[in-house]
Amino acid sequence: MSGTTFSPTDLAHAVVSEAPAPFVPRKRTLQIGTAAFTAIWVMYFGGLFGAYVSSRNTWKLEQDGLAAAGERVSSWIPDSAQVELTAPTIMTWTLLMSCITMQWAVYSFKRSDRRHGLLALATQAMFGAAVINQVVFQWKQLGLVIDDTSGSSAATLIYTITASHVAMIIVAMCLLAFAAFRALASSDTKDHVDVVASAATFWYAMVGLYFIIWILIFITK
Amino acid sequence: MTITEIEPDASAAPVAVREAMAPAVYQRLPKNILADSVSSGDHKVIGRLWILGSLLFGLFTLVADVLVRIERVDTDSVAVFTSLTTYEQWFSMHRVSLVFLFVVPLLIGIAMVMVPLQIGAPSLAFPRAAAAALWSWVVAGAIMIVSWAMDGGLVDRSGATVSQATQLSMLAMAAVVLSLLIASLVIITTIFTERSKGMSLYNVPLFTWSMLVAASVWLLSLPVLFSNLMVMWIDARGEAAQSFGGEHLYEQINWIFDQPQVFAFAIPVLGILGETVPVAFRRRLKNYDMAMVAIGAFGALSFGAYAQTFFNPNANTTWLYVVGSITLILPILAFLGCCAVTAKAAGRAPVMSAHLALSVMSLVALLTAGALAAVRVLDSLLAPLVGFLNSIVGFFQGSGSGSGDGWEFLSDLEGWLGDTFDEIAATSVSGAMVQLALIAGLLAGVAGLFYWASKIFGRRLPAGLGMVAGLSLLGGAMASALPDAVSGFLEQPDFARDPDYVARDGVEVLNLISLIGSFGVLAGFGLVLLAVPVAVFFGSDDDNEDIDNRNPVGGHTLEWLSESPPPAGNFDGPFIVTSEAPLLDEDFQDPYAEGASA
Repeated sequence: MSGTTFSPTDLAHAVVSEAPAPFVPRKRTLQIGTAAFTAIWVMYFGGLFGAYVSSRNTWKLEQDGLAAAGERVSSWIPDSAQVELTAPTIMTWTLLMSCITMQWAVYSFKRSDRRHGLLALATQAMFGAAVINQVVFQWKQLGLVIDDTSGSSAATLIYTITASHVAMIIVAMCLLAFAAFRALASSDTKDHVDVVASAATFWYAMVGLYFIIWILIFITK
Repeated sequence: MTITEIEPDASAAPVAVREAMAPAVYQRLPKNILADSVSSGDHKVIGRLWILGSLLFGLFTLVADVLVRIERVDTDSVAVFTSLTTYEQWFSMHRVSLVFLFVVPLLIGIAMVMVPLQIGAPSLAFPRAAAAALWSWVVAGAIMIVSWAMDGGLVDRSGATVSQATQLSMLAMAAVVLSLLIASLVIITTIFTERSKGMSLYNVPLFTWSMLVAASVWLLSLPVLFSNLMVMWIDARGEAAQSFGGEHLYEQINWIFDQPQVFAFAIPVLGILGETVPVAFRRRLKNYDMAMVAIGAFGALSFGAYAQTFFNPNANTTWLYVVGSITLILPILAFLGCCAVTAKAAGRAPVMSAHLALSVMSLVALLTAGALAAVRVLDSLLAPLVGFLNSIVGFFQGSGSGSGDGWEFLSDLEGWLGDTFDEIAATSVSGAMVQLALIAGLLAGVAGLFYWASKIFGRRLPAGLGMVAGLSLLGGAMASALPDAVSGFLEQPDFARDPDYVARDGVEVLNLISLIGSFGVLAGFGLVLLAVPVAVFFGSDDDNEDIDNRNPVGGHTLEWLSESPPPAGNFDGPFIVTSEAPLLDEDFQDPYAEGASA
């Protein structure tokens, strides 16, 4: 064999410069960070739910007192407001369906199925957008006004809770977009399944919180 | 060019490269400190900026405290401020800034620098998130102060609507809280994911453990405060917002400055003490597991998001609140027991130092605050017991028929307990407790600054100055808080001052003593501020060859293996840790030891 000879160092250099860097599994940094981030949101909604329930109970006790005294009473959610169950129930089902597509996305990325993963995330984003659309419709339908003429603080709390949930949906969709870019831009999607799984954790928490909103505000009123 | 998905390993770079990468803040007269600081993702730079910001905001806070106390000396008129509402706004501001712009950020700053070093990590888990939290905190804090100066604050008696300045105060405070939440998230994630090999959660250093507990309690309680602020703000957007507005603004967030929540901001007191005591006695802390449990229990008991008297007026008489307040002091005592056993086992006097003195002072302040917390709920515990005892006496007096009236003494005692202690719930006893708990957190932070000065500032701080500062801070805090506690029993309100309020005899004298105490706190803090430039510009004993520059205090944990100040990447090599004090382990492989392979 004649011609150029390579030393072991040269060969090693050639391998390093031409081959893609080996994938090093990350620590669970993102999952734990997302879990803590989700805990922040859960406690935030915990505070809102606590405020809602205690304000509503206080209001009802006051109204019971007025009724016992023979005075005129009013309802927690003003009678002028139109609280329909249709939109919240459709939203609940939409979000429940989105849990299935979310799991589909995680499953696809784990199996390096780029096509189905992308399809699942696109469906997921569509579900999120649909829910935001329905919330806006519901706000218009409700016709609640934040004022204190009735003495009820229902309007303030309902707007705070539902608007906060819309904010959470938007954050969840941003996390999904980040996960999609990160996973789909890599050579093998299963290397980045932790990113998608983290986004999924946050999404499931968001759905669970809406389920409580549905029961607390719209079912039990 | 090779494209990789992994960041270059800074610790593997040659020394010259690492020195070049090291931020200029390490040098005495850096040339590009602003550019390096603003753009840095290095945890030490970020931590130093948290500390610097908190110290500057702290100066403002303590000046506000002095102004508020000057106003309180004369209870008949408004002298310093333009109106009673302005006084209340400043009062609310100084308390908000004491927690969110001063004590908590100071502890977060120390944790940002020290936690990665203590666990042998090269960096924080999310360094960019930490930087984002820092800068949003700085901007939001500045906006908050400006909004207060514009007649904002969390008191608004302007009428049916809430003023725009007040709304800005709410949003700025919400942004400050959000920043602290992100910082807490970063600390928690770092501790969970970046520990050295062999370092389980059962043998992390106690400061790191206390920060994990503290950040977890903050992470779970501050979102509830955020929800309060959002409700207030959305309510203020209405045309006639009153449900959550007007005079009720401060009332809604008062739980954060009341027991048990206020103790959550003093959790690291125990962690710092757990670092300094074993070092002072030159041995491991005895009953380390017990110390960890004590810190965890203290954290659990200090969670106070449930005790919101605005939404539940009976919240401070529930068994959870009462038992929690009484038992809050037990973990502190248990921790003290661990320190005492360690001292006994050492069988020799401790090596006295500024950080040891400061951490003991912080414990004294915390214990006093804990005692006041117990006193405040005494009636809820004792009155039912006395009543029960009296009913038993009455039962036997009535020969089993239950018709006896009991002892007159017990009836009087029950009545006195109810009358006296019921009224102190909203008096300045509460303010005294808050002051002491937060000063305990501040003293712990200062102790941390002195203990880790060589890692944080690259220089040791003058110990004498630290001792004097600590005495001034503790003495001032006691002198300002204890008279408040006494005047609380004389029915001086803590916060809102009724225009018709008439002070009882002696209250104004007590308020004057309290004012003198607040000057003491300010003077002590001034000495702390002085210590850093004195060390940096006039030098310290760093040049003394007898002192190990890496480990000048004789510490037992990993941070003392790094250079002072630590370079980018912190350490030269990974560690395998087998105990909570690895430097005391015989089998610990020190990569810096002479003859050790790199």
